[in-house]
Amino acid sequence: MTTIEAASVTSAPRAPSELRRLLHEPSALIGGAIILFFIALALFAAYIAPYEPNAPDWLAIRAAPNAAHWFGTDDLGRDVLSRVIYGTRASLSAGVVSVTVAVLIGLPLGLIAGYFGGLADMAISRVADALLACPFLVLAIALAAFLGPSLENAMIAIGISAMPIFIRVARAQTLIVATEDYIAAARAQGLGSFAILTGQILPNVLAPIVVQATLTMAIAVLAEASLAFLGLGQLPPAPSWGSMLDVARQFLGEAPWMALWPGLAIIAIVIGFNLLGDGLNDALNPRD
Amino acid sequence: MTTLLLRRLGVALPTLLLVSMMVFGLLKLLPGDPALALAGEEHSPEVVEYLRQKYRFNDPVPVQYAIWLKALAQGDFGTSVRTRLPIGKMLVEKLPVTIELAILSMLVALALGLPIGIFAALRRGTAFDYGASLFGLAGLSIPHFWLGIMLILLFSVNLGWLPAGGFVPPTESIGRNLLSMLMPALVLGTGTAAIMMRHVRSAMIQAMKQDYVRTARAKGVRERLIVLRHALPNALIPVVTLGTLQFGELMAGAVLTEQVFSIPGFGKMIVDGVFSRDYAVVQAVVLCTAAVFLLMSLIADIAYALLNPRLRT
Repeated sequence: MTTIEAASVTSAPRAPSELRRLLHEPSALIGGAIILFFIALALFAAYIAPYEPNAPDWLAIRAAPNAAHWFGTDDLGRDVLSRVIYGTRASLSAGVVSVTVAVLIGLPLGLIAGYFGGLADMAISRVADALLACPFLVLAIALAAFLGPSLENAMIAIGISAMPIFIRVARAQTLIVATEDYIAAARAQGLGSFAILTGQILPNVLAPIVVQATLTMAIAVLAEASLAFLGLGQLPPAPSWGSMLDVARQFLGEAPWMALWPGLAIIAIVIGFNLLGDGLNDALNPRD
Repeated sequence: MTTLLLRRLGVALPTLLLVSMMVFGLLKLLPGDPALALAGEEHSPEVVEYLRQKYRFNDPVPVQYAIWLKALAQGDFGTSVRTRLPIGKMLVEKLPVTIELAILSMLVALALGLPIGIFAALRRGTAFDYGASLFGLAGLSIPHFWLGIMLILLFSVNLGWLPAGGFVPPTESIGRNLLSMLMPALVLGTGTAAIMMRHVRSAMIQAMKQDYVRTARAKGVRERLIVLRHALPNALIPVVTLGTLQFGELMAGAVLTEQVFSIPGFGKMIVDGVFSRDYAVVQAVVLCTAAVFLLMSLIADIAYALLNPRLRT
């Protein structure tokens, strides 16, 4: 599913029928179940994780998976399962916060560009083009490098890098919706631009934005893991799947399990967001 | 064609100028005195003062930008604070390594993505098609760096067949060069193969529904010929564009792959630049990556117009 495909949703959402369609989409159900599972892990990590994520056990350094440590332990004797469970928090929050940043900036800019056109459209579209010309990860690395390494800065960097996608989707959708008869009717009734944008256009632009946001969360989770792997995200000793992989590659021969589980967790959550996004697109845009 | 080229250049050049403004603006994100940050941790007051004079940090921002842009136009990207080498020279050394990795990765992507996409379209709804869809989903979801680590674990640590990292220049030994690039190209190419497979599959499904395919079938042309002579050439037109654009993406994707396999290319250059606070290097790599990306978009537009005459005007 690409941006352009996601952007092709044109109909206004009618909640009951769309929800019914969503419940009949196997990919949405599987993806949703995976994401709910990870949300539960993040919320109840303190109750589910068998150990403190940062508690070292000097007698069980790089212990292979066993009855006491199902996923084994790392180079400091910390329980890998507990760190994978707690690491869900960094990944999910990176996905949600960075996509929220991208939507909060990108959606209004896209609405303004599509509705007003002219100079505003030209200026906003050129900025979006310039941001899109810098590949996503390179831009995120550069921003994170200049802002300084931390999970918060990684989220901002990913959010800014993802923003032009939402400008494009919102703009394209606004251009379509703005030609509808009910917009002309709203203008004839004397409604101002702000009222039309927020009351008439925004609700009809939201469906593709929701689809795109779900798919972008998959990209954001991968980007956060990549930045943490490079040392530009969540800083140790706080658990993050990307930084766990960075440490794990130094002990590949002695403790391969250190690299296995965080990687599988990343793949599972990214598959979850991708399936949910595809399912949402099919449910909200059955004509595709 | 000239009109198209000029029109596309008219979009690409201002975009590149805007990118340069953003890249220059990155320096303003640095907390505190940028001259101190550029000088690195072990700086003397003389070095800081030299940098302040050189970049005219006391001048208004537009003047600073104009001076920076003028130097760039003359090929002067500045000097690396880590290596003390001209950044332009470093770029010329590193770029071919990343381009080689991108080309090899594209070959892997074509070798996997094209046949799987074509057969998945021709055997729609079968177990092969579902397997191909799974491959597509996995390719989009597996992080490059994790796949790289797993391949190192299997082929280097356990089997001892391939080197775990490092780069052998082709001028030294072509065989050892290809061996050192095999795993990185597989890692980087698999993700692109998944994207390509999905596009080829859907383009082939569309092509097989066209009237000219039905006409060929009605004339009794063999199915294999219909696929190879009629459907495939038409289905591949959008794939040429996609492949060109993906080449730009591969340059970016190389960042993590080069880090995992210790390949001294463009990607490793930006990561090393980040950790040694060599901000001028980071700026130069971002700008060059954007320039390559815009160039590939331009080539994609031209290739699409060449293959599709309706778009030439």
